[in-house]
Amino acid sequence: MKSMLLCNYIVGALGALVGAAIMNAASAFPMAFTQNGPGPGFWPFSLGGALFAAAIVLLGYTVLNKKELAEQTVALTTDSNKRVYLLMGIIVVFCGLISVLGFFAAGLILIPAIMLLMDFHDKKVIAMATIGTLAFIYIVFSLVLGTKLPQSIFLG
Amino acid sequence: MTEILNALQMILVPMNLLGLIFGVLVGIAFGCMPGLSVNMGLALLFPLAFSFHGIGGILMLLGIYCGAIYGGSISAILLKTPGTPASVATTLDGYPMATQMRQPGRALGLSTMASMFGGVFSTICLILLAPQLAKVALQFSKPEYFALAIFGLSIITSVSSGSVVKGIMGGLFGLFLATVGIDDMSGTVRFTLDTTYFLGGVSFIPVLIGVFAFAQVLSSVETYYHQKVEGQIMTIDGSLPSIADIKRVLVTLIRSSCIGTFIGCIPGTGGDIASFVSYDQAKRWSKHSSNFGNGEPEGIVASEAGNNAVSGGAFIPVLTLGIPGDGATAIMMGALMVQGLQPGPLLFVEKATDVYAIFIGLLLANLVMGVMGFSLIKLFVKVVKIPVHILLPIIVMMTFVGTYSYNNSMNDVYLMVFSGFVGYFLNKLGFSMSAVIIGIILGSMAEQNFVGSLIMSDGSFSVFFTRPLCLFFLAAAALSLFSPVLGKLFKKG
Repeated sequence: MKSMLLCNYIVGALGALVGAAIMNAASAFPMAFTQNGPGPGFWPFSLGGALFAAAIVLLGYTVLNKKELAEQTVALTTDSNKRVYLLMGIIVVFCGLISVLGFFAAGLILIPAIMLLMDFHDKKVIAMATIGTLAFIYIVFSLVLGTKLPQSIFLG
Repeated sequence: MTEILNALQMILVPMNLLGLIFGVLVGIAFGCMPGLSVNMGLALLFPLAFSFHGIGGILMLLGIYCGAIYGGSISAILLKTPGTPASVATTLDGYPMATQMRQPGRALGLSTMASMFGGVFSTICLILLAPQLAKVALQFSKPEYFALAIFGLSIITSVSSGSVVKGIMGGLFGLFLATVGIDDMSGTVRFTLDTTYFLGGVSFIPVLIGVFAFAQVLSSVETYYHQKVEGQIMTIDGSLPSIADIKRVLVTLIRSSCIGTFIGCIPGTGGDIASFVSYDQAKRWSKHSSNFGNGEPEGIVASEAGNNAVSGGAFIPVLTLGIPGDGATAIMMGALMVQGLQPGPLLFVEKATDVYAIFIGLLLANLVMGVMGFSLIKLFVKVVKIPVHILLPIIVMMTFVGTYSYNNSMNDVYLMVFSGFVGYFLNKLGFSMSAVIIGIILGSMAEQNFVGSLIMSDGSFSVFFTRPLCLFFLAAAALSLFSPVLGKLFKKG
């Protein structure tokens, strides 16, 4: 558990940073007013400025409400969170596997992996859900809609 | 009249009707399964909508929208776990009627009747009011449209987000994302990170699926890890409401439908607010107010009529002004735009047939929802019991295949995954994802009208403060943003 106070400080600082970065990037484009209106950099520069200002307001609000925010917690390090982070890792690996093994073969690994991650161990149901889902996707997307899902590099 | 007949002709194509029925079915299933949501259902099936020719995809999404709001009541009544936030108030009387009074069929019947009535009532209001409002909106010029976009965004960020400042930050970030790609006014290429992928702008659909469907899966993994949703095994006999029940709830039904429609018109509100306000008013005016919380039929009807009546009301600002009220209507607006239908008053002039097709489609979706609710309730009771552990991996696969199939692009998939990861953390930190999405949708409208207004006034910002309607919208935007601060000051005073 982390306090909202700490989270707000981080979010405020990141927001200010992103706002400043947008202003910096936008300043590379013309901003002066011509007969075609303000230059293409004006609007994004204003948005970056507004984001920067909002982030400073958030930081100010956080400083003024330290006590209240210190009592609010954000769950980021519980066992459930760790499962989510593990799932994120699996998804990243899955993205890589799609390119190597193809969509369906990678799916054969992903579906059971998520079910096991959620502490579901009924092998019959896992097998049925995996085959059923992939069969459904194959019929609807590949056969009916004609979508060419990524194939294994070994087949190309 | 010709437009109405043409619209009917468009809808009565078997494939389109099938799309609508399929949408309602999927919507009810999504709504009734705890852990899934209206936005998730809409986002997931968004790419599939383009497989239909013409209006068919829109009809399917309308079906999902209506079905999912109603579906939330099924798990609220049977499991005391509302499928959607809009059905939280339904648990107060629905669950006691189903368990303590052992009348689950009666509770489900009342909720189905109220949902259908609320939906149909609000659609009729939409049909009557939207063309009139569109006529007024036709007088608007660029400064008014800019002010309207700011007003829409401000009211959404102030109402829908836990923190106003974070809501504003989300909305601003969404507006910035809308600037990526080729600038419509000058043709300049902006913020593309030197890749051709972003030349056409940040692809809306992968972001949508990422923040509404994929991030929701991650949240559900967190919520349901080691937790099993268990409900009592209930036998559903008949679900048609009795004449005595209809007489008892009729006034509440009409009152709640009016409240829901009105609340739906206000951007940033939604079914959850409508259902609680309707419930509160029903309790205040009821002869049986002491029975509320113990299985009172009026309690179920008030909540369900209120939240389903939002559907028609929410389409009034979307279709007439191009301002989406929440995440779900933002997705619907995105679908209309992708189909070449730009919401706003001109839509009523240029594409009147399509507008009437949407009206009739919404009406039909509510009727189909009612018929399915009464006839297939036993099926939906079984759907409620599907474990989340099985559903979530299936949904993950659907997010991937749905995103990929839109453009046959793995870059879209990577963007979806990235948006989902970011969305998960931002949700936890109190940011409203709806504000980001609405920022993306309104971004182009806001910038084009901002620039256009300044061209009109030769670069003078006074154009925004000298036109009464423009000033009104900007003042309303400022008021909605500062209302939490003003509220605190008044309380202290």
